[in-house]
Amino acid sequence: MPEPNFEPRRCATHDMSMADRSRMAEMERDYLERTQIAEADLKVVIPVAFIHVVDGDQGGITADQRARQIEVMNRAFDPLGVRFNHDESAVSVVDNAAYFRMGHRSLRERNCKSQNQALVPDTGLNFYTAEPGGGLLGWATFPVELEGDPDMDGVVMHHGTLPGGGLAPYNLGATATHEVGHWLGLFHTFQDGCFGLGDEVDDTPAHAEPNYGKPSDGGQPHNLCPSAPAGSLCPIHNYMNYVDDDWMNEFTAGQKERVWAQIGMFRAGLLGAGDEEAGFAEAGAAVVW
Amino acid sequence: MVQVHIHRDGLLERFGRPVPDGAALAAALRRLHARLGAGPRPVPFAVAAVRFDATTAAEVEVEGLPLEAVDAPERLPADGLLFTASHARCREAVAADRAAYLVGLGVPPEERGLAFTDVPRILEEALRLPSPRPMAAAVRKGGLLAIPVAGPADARARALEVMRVDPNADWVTLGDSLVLYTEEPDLEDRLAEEPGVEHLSYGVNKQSLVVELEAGGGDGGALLRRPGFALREAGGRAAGAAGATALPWNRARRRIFAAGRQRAAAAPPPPPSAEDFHAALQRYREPAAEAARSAADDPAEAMLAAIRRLAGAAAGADLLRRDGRPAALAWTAPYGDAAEHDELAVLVEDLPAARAGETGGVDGLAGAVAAALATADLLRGLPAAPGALHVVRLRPETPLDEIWPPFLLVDERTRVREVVAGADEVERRTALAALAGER
Repeated sequence: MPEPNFEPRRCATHDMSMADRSRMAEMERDYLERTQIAEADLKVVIPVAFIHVVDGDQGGITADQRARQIEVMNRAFDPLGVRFNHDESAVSVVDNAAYFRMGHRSLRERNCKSQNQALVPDTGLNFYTAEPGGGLLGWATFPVELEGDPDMDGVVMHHGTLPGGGLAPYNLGATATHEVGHWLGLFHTFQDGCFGLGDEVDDTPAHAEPNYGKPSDGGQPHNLCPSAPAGSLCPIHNYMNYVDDDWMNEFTAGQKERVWAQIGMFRAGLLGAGDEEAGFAEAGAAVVW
Repeated sequence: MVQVHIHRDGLLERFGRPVPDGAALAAALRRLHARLGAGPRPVPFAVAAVRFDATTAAEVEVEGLPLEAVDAPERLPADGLLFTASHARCREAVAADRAAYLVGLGVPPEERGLAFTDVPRILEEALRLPSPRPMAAAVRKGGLLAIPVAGPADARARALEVMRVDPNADWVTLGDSLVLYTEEPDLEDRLAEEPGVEHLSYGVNKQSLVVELEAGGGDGGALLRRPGFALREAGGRAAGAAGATALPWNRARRRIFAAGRQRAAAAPPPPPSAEDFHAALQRYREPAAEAARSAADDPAEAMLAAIRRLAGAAAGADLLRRDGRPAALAWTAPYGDAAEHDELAVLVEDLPAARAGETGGVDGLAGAVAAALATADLLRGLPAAPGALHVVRLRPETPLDEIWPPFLLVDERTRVREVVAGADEVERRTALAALAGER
């Protein structure tokens, strides 16, 4: 099989202005047209390094929880051609009360990540767990941020959100799926509400604000924007909404396209980084770079 | 450079005093600005307060934000964002092709409405930055502390101080204790170390809390007990103490409940009596009736003029219309005598019934307006609640003996929002809209 002709925009990321970011969809289209990757080639296995920040006996995560978290992510991302694996022997535990309570974009977060990053961020996912306050379940960095600020790359998850954690109804592992979706370049489906560029994905109609809980299918169209195409449904089961974990179960074809454009443009180092033994659902088509 | 402007009037200040949620928003944006500027690739955005009055001397800053004075939203930078509580300013900004949002008014997001706590997310989205996934309010938990306070001004100051650190903080004052809910563990730890502070709970969902008034039972299950009050989790006990009135947190929050009658040493003045009310009513009854009779074909407009005359120009009286027809009269008043006290919103609703020959009629409308003016007068003498919006709601057909005593004095912000949101846009005025906006 010929090597896919990915041309990462690595140098350009240094100069990604707000205007550039606002025309990301246009850049993606150009990129995809130039690269022309066959559908069957869109497969990658991403190494995951777990870094558990704890405060004494608070915040510990078991091997079973890690394995189940990877399963949840694989089930969600398999249709996108993305899988994850992790090396149990490489799990890190950082016992630091201050870092345990790190806030989003805080100095604690920066210090914690700078000191404890496990994988070179071009080549894998640094998956931190901690106990941030403020009612936050987790957060991520975008691919476009990698080049300029590699120390911060990765996802931070409240330890209670991993499968079997204590934060019901958010303890089925879907927060990690959601945040890894960001890490691979996806916006929220409600990005910009009804007034802006939206999530730059064609098949997720714009809606005005997040949906929480378990919005009913019978209650459609919920908070769909007036500008949404006729017959559209609010994406109440999409992983990039805010509904309960057991209500999330889909990515769209448009989101797959965006993920692959973002990988190619900003995370090309992931290609070839994974474990060839990881099995895709369509085993015959599985090609790991 | 993305420039963010927060409209001072209505969002950061009202009647010259800080708005608690505005203070929290300003602090959150200042933190966001600092954090986005701290990395190796600072994000190009600036945040400032703005007032749309370039003719008077400028203050330097509001809530730690530089204050800019401009003539109109169209003068703001083309690539900026405006957050305001003024429908008119929002409309002007949108007409000038600026991105603008209405904050805290209960306006649907499809119509550019936002809650205060959603502003940072909208800003992050505009900057094409990731925002964290939050828990739903129904499952959020935080710490609960009882902080001793010297009075309403002290309680308000402490609450503001906390809001500047934790935008999700909330509070109620029971006697001499500020009961504070916070989701910031570091803040919780710091406050818990202060002298006299009681750490009531390490992880409570505030929606599960109830305040019992005049509780007569023992301490069983109460998180906090003060003379005349108990604070408990609703699920912790099958029913309140005998004779108790239980207010869920969302009805009690941000109010001050004065110390109970048992506390003889520092007993607050007794609430106004029915006699006080009727005496006050007499002051307004005849002027209101006279105004109504003078324009029986348009009593609502006549009452608006009367209210402006009787309640004073600062009351910001409005006649709200719905589909072009008079729907409600509304005005605002200080609650309590001192400047640090809170606002009272007065609503006289169901005006369509106030035409001659219909239920209530013109006399009913005049009576309701007089009663509302009298009620507002009397409430000025009562202890206030930091950050609270108190609402008096009357209808032309409300019998006078049902107006006084309690519970006229309730935090029915939702109703104010409904009234404002339901009114024709051209009649939505800033004073009432701003009151509706505070959570």
